[in-house]
Order: sequence, then structure tokens, then C-alpha cells
Amino acid sequence: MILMNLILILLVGGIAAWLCESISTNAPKWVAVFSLIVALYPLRTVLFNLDAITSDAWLINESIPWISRFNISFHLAIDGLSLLLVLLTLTMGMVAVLAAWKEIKQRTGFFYFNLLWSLAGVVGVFCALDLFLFFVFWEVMLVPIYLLIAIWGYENRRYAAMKFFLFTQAGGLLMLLSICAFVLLHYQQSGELTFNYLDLLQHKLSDQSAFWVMLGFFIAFAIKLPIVPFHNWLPDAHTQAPTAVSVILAAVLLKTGGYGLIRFVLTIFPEASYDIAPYVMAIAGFSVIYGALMAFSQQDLKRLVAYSSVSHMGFVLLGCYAFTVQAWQGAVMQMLAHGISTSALFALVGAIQYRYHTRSLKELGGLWQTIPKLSAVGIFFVIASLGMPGLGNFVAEFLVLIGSFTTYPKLTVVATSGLILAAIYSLVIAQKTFFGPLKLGNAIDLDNREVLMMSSMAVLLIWMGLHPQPLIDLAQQTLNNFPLGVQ
Amino acid sequence: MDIQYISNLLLAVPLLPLFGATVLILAPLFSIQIPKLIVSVIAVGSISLAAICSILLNIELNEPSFNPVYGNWIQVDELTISFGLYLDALSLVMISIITGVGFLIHLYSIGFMDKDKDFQRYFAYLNLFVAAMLILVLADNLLLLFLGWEGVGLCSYLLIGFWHEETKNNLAANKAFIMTRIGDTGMAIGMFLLFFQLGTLNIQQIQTSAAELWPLVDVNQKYNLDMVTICCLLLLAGAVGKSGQLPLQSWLPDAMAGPTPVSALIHAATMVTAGVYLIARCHGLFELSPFAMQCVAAVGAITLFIAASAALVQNDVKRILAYSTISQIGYMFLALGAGAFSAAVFHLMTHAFFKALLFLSAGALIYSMHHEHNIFRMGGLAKKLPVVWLCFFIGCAALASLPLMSGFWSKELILGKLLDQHMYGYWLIAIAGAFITAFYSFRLFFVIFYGETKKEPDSQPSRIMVIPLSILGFLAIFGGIQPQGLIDMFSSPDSGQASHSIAIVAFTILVPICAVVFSFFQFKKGVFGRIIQSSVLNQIHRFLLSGWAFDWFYQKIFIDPFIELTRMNKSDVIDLFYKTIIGASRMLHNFLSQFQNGQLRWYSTSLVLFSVISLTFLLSR
Amino acid sequence: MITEGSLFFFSIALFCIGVFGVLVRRNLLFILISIEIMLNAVAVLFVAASSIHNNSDGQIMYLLILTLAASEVAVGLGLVIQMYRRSKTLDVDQLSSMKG
Repeated sequence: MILMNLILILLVGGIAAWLCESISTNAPKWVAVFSLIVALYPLRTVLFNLDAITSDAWLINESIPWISRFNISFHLAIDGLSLLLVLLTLTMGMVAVLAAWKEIKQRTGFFYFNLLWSLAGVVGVFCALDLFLFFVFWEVMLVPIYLLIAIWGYENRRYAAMKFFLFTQAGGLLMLLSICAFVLLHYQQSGELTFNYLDLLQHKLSDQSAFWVMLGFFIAFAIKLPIVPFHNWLPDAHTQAPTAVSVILAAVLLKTGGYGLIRFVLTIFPEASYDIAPYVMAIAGFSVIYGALMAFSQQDLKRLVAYSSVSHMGFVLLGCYAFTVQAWQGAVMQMLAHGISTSALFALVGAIQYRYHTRSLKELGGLWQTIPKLSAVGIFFVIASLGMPGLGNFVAEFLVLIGSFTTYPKLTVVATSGLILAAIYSLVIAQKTFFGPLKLGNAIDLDNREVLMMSSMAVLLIWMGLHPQPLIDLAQQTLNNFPLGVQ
Repeated sequence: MDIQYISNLLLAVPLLPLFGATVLILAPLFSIQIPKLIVSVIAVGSISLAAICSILLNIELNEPSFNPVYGNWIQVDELTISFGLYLDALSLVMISIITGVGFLIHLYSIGFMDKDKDFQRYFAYLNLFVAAMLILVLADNLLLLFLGWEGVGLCSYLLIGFWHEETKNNLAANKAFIMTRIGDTGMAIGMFLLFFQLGTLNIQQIQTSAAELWPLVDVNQKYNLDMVTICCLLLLAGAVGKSGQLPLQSWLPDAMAGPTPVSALIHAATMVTAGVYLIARCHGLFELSPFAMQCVAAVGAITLFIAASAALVQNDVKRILAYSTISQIGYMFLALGAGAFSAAVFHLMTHAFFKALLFLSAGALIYSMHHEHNIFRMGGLAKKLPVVWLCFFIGCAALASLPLMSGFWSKELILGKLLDQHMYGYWLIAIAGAFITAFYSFRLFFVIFYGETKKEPDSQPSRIMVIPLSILGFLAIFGGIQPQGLIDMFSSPDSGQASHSIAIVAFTILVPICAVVFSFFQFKKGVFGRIIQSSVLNQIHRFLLSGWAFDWFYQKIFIDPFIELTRMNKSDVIDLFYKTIIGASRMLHNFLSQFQNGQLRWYSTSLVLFSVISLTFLLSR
Repeated sequence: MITEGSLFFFSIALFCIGVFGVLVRRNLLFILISIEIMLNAVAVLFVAASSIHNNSDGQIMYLLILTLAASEVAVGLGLVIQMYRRSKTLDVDQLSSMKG
């Protein structure tokens, strides 16, 4: 019951954090840190035996009956891909707690309760192999985020939280419809009612129904990813969310979209996905360019980074639908690398806002002269986000593009021009924030907690850039079970 | 030859500066203070050790090539990319130049940057640059080369914007990075295409399998856009961006915003020649496409002429040198296009010596003249700054390729090769370029050092700056010996050196001398009057001063529309759709909530009315 | 002899008077009285129908309506008194705080 314990630890940790608030306002964050560390403990058997991974699909596979009347079970399992994303979730959860360390002063208990519960939901999403359970976790991760934005957000938080909730709920509704339709169609044909992923994987729908069911899933995940034209919730949510929530949103919540595409849409409906691939590739290429152009025109630093997220996640979609191994690997790498680099940028913006109470590029400038450490770290992550070779983002984008080029050369050339635009908006951040004449007063530079947080993310990015092979091998274990022979 | 020993030695060459950079960057992040002396020792020490390693490699390497692989970088399916270094005569020359000139410039920088508060940051960037540049020239596959390629671009960006308090410097840095990124993106697409076609990114494998896949059928086939030509042109895009050639040349003059030693190392001696290196490295590929070779030559020829003419009228000493760098790299491209790869690399080497010398002495000059850049506000400095005067003289003479200087041998080689290939049009442009080059370099010399004194220098260059200057001066005079390894590497079996008539050789020698004499009369004696007043000439002057108005053109064609487009869509046009949904439901809400007014009588009336209507409807059916 | 038609007419007329009263009166007390009139109109109809069809069900319904009306008046008047105590008015146009 490894995964169940993992999720339980986070859920119980959340409740404990809430209860601890009555002892001291500082207690909840220590509880949160503690439970995130403890959550790694159940995974020890897997983490220490990574070399012994065989081609067997599931590293851990556990199931207990839940609602037996509808044949719904509490079925959790992880393979290479899920393991990578679960580890990313726990790591970035820690970063989020550190980012919130000083910023959150009111109702701390409830804050960390929500944070841990949404992390538990995300972990559940990455592990669930029962479609009903998947949907339950999908909702568990959204509601706390809504509360986090609506309660602890900035000036326009109600609007942003509502927008976030409506967009994702609309997607969730479509997904629920698709799940029900899929399960019922399966029931009609085989006479067996099941929500089990592995059983449904064997089932083959007719072309027509496969298309519609696939479309429901696809739109739900495309909203989450997000992909133009479903991206509008993201800039608002990011701008208004407290730093920690921005970190969680960028690092792991968007990844559930990419994960869903790989785990469900591409795996269950390979033919239907292959049929729509040209259109999806075009949308993905458009997303890359559009996000970058929008990022360039923003004056709000957080909005700028949010739009850059849209651009980066376009590469994930590009990689998913190119139907080559390199591109798939690139999509997975991009999820991990973007998770780290973008959330680092959000944490930085949060640190700047904590010091100067502004995120506007017009008001900032010349920060290097007063807070050189923060600026140096900022330059590093800006450079990472524009795709500097030697850092994780480059490996990811390179793999996506070189993989897509073999199947869609022209679209890939268009998407590659996103690299130029990425350079433009990234340098705008650097120039208008860290360089130039100093416009605002002095501030305190990064303290040890922040240096630790930032440097660990920087080390992860360098490691991913120079030695990505362990990650590639882990993800390969999932991709080996992919229905590759669609073409 | 001990293989293990050499491969360790080779690995040490890029890793030593990288280590230096890492130490210098990490220390302040964790609040560790390093005294200036230790910083200099770490920075210069790591480079000097790397230089010693490359000297040892020069002695030890006795095979045509050496290719150790240190590990796997990325391996997905059939895509395999390793950390492999490739050492042959070409990369040996390159690492010798980079570590040698790099060492001298580091040494010089200790003196030059002595009073700067960001001493440590400067050396961290400079070390990082040297490391990236060494990776660039040593990489055995295109992706590792691209790592170095972008790495030097990053360091160039950071160093151009080194004095970051001034927005002007940052904008120049942005411009440099973005314009080279445009070329780099082309190069990245080229890599994708090569991998798609050939299934490998290893440079040597690419060239062998390309030769098998696309054999050169007809040498005279021109304007044929086949696959190999597209690959070559995409790689050329990268080379053009990095090397400041047409049409991506306009970043280089602005890049002079950085500290002068940086301009010497990055924007003259090493980084900007990376494009030349790339084409020489992939010469097997380029030789398969005569059309691509033509393009390389054309780019080189046009650039050399445009840049030389722009250098003719500049006032800023560093801008003159920047345009002359662009122009000299144009010569190298011309040589590459003519198939004279060894001549191109030879010119790269001599250019590294004399241009580094010129930039460093310009640095010393600026250092002594209270940061004055305008040459017309200087004058009569020959007696007051004798060391700088001597260095400038040697540098200008080598740049003008006066006989027996190092630049003379390499330029003669290129000109001769052009005649061999019967490229007479290009030869004429090159000769014209040589004339202009000699003219503007001595214009620079005479204006600064002769005439009336306008400003007194306040200090002499310190000893630590003079040592590198003298070594580079020596190399600029006597460095004109073509490395034998290069000749062996690029020699094709059938190319015998055709002998040219004495008249032509004499002509090519006389052209720069004439230019110098002309310049002497113009600027020292003032025979022709210094400024010719005429509106047409003034306009031409303005046109040349702006570097043929490329900046204006790009501003109008690309930048303004781009900014306009993004500004128009600032609040996201797609959001309008969702805003419409919000608006529609709000309107509906407002409309319907009018009926819920709390008036009991209104409610009961509507109840009665509705009952009557529905009853009537039901009964009348 | 009273005809069926006049009985129906009387009952409908009474009902309409009640409806009219509910719609136009502002005083809550009169609205209650009008509702009472409407109830009685229906009750008259039940009795008439029972005598026409010779069936006692209608008279039983009348007894039911009678008790219903009594309890309604008891509760309704109680509410009216409460409302008057709270808002010092029985004008329904002013008692419109239940709007959305």
C-alpha cells in the first residue's frame, strides 16, 4: 500500500497543519515540510532500486475494491513517467512551502491544509488507474487551488479564482461525460461494467465514438495544459495567486494536462489521435508563437511569465502528437524542465514583490545594483527559459523539435522560430528588471532559505541539461508500452 | 603517444576555465569574499594552465585526428549524442589561438579592470566564455558544438551589457543576442534536417555519409536548391549570425559597448570567427554544394566591401575596429567560398593576433585618455604615448597588410587563391577592400597620433598591460607562418599552386602601400582638405556612418511592425470571446432578475396570467 | 329552482372577485380575505356539483376545505400580526424585501 500511504500522509499532514495553527502560526509550515519529507519514505523501495527496473509496465501496482456495485476500485499504480511526475510534485511542493514561508501570515493552517490537499490530489492524478478515481483526484486538486487563489490572492483574486474554476470545471465536465460514455459503450459491448484503465485499454471503440470520447478527454487536458485558445485562465490565475500557488500551478498542475494526454488520450485512442494530429500540431505551433508574442507585450512580470508558460507548454503538445520517440521524450522532459524553470521564475517574482510590492516592469529596474544575488539567480532562470544548451529546457525543446521534424517539418520550422521569440521576451525580463538604472530603493538580498531553494532548482536544471539520461530511461519505460505502430 | 594521457589533457583544456568560472560565480552567491589577487590568480591561472595543456597537445599529437568520447549525453532511440571531443589540425590551431590570445587578454584585463568594482564578475564571465569557446571548437558533434555556440553567445551578451547601469549597453547586448539567435535558429533547423536525412549529428559521420548520399555530380551546377544546399545554407545562417556577416552584421558595431578587452577577445579574435570555424569544420559538406559555396563567397565579398566603406567614416575608435573586424571576416568567408579553407583559417589566426593587438592598444589609449572614444578629439599623441603608438603602428600595418607583416601573408594567400579559382569579380572587390582597409587603418593612425594635441593623456598603460601588448605585437609581425597541419588537412590532391605573373603580385603589394601614402597626404599633411563640404557627400557620409542604414531598415521592416502587432494584442484577443460569454450571461441575468422584484401582487398577477393562458391553450386544443 | 348555469356563474364570479381582490388590494389583511373568498367559491362549486351528480363526495370535500380555510386563517393571521409588529405596515408593495 505504498501509494495509498503516500497520499494518506499528505492528506493527514494537511489536517494536522490545520489543527496546529492553534499552537502557533509558524507550526503549520513545519508540519507541511515534515509531511512532504515523510511522503518520500514510502517510495524508498522504488527509489533505491531504480537500476533494477525491468520492462515490466508497473513499478508499483495496488488495488482495493471501493464502490463494488459499479466495479470501481481504488486502483493506484506508477510506472517511469508517473514516478518522475510524482517526484516533481513532491519536490516542487517543498519549493512552494519555502516560497510561502514568509509571505503567508494569515490563516496559515488553512493555507497549508489546502496546499497539501491539492498536492495529494495531484499525486493521486498521477497514480490513479481507475477512471472514476482519476476524476475524483482531478477534482480534489482543483478545489483547494480555487480556495488558495480566492483567499490569499492579490487585488483581483475573486475574478481570477472564478475564471480558473470555471475553465477547469468545464474541462472536467467534458472529461466526466467522456468517461461515462466510454464506460457505457464498453458495458454495452462486453456486458462488463468497469472503470479500470487496464481493462478499458484493451477495448476498441468504433471510429466514430472513439473520436468523440477522445475529443472530450483532449479538450479537458488541453484546457489544463493550457493550449491557445483555452489558455485565458492561466495569466489571470498566475497573476493573482500567491507565490506558492503560482509555483504549484506552473510546476505540477499544468503537468496533469500533459500527463493525461500521454496516459489516456494517446494510449487509449491511438488511431483517433493520429487522425487529428495534423490539426493539433498546428494548434501547438500556434500556441508556441502566440504565447511568446503575448509574453512580449506584457507589463506585469507575473503575466509575462504566465504567457511564456503557454508558449513552453505548446512544445509539450507538439511533442505528444509528433508520434516519434524523440518527440515524446522531449515532451516529458519539457514537463519536468518547465516545471522547475518557470516555477523558479514565479518564486523570483514573488521574492521581488515581497520586497518592492510591485510586479510592474515599468516600475522595476536596476535590481542588480541593490540585490545582486537575486538578480544573478534571476538571470540564470531567464537564460534557462530561453533554452540555453546545457540546461534542462534545451534538451527538452531540442528533443521535441528534432522528433517532430521527421513527421511535420514545416510546422516544426514555425515552432522553432518560437526560440527567437523566447529570447526576445526573456531578455526583456532581464533588461527591465535587473539591468538599467535603479528606480526603486534598496532591499535585502536573498536569505539562506531562498538561496537554498533557488540553487537546488538551478542544480536540478543543470543536471537535466547535462545528464538527462536517467530521466530519459525512466520515461522510456512508459513509452515502451506505447502503441507506437500506429502509422 | 599515450591515448589516456592525451584524452585527459584534452579534457582539461575546456574544463579548467569552466572550473575557474564556477568558483568565481558561486563564491558571491554563498557570500564568500575573495580578494582581488586570488580572483586574478584563479582566472588567469586556469587559462594559463589550459594554454599549457594546448601547447602540450601541439607537441604530443602526431596523428591526423584524435576523437576521445567521455560519456553519453542524450540517447533516445537512434539519436545518440555523446560528450566527444575532436582534435585535428583545425581545432588545434583554434584552441591554441583561444587559450593563447585568451591568456594574454586575461593578463591585460587585470590592469585594465583594476579599478572596476565588478572585477570578479568580469573574470567569471571571461572564464566562462573561454570554456564555452573551447567546447565549441573541440566538439565532435553538432549539438555539443551548439552548446558552446550558445554559451559564447550568452557570455558575449553578459559582457556587452557588463556595465549594466546604462540602458544603452543593455540594449546593445539584447541586440547582439537576438540577432545571433536568429542565425542560431536557422542553424538548429539545419541540425534537424541533417539528422532527419543522415540519422546522425556527429560532424565527421555527417560529412562521410553526406558524400555518399549526395555525391557531387557536376561541379558547375549552380542555383540548384537540393537537400545538401539547404543544409549548408541553414548552417551558413548560423555562421552569418555569429560572425557578423550580411545580413546579420549590425549587432557587432554596437557590441563595442562592453569593456575593451572583451571586444578584443570576443568581438575580434575568437567568438566572431566561430562562423568561419563552423564552415571550415563542415567543409566536406559545403564542398558538395557549389551553390552554397557561391553564397558563402558572395556574403563574404559584399560584407567586406560594405563594412570597409563604413569603417572609412566612423569617428569612434572602437567602431572603426569593429567594422574592420566585420570586413576582415568577410575576407575569411570569401576565402571559404573559394575553397581556400586553410587560407581562411590562416587569416583567422593572423587576424586574431593583429586585431587583438589593435583592440588592446585602443583600450590602453582609451584608458589613458579619460574614456575618450572619438578620434577627432585626440591628436599628436605619438610622443606622449610611445608604447601605444608603436603597438598601433604594428597593428595598423598588419591590418593594412603591408609587406612582411603577418596579415600580408594571409591576405596574399587569399587573393592568390581567388585568382586560381578564376573568381576575378571577387578578386576585384577584395583588392578594392584591401585599398580601403589600408586607407582607413592609417587614417586612424594619423588622426590619433599626429596633428595638434587636443587632450593630454593622464596616465601611461601599466606594466601588466604592456606585457601582453608586446607579445601580441611580436605575433602580429612574425605570426605569418601558416601551420603545416592546416595545409595538410585541407590540401586536395590536384590543386597545384598556379604561379601568377609578377605584375599581378606587385600590384597586390602596391595597392595597400598606395593607400597608406594617400592617407598620409590626406590626414597628416591635410593636402586634400579634411572635410569636403557638399550636401551629396554629406549624405553619403551619413549613410556610411550608419553602416549603410541597416539599423534603420530593420527598424522599419521588422521591429516596428512587431512592436505594433504585440501592442495591439496586448490584452489578448482570444479573451474577448470569453468576455463575450461573461457579458451575455450577465445581460441575461439582468434581464431575468427584473422579474424578481419582491412585489407580491406582481407575482400573483403573473401567476394568474400564466394560468389563464395555459388553461386557454390546453382547452382550445 | 336555481339552474346549474347560474350556480357555476355565481361560483366563477365569486372566484374572480377573489382573484381581483388579491391582485389589486395592497393591504395584506384584505389579500387574506380575498383568498378566503376564492376558497369559498371553490367550495360552492363542490357543493353544487355534488347536488347535480347526486354524489356526496363534493360535500365531503367542502368539509375538508372548511377546515383548511380555518387553519389557513389561523396561521395566516398569526403571520400578519407578526409582520405588522416588525414592519409597522401591511402594505405588500412596501414589504418587498424578498426580491432577489
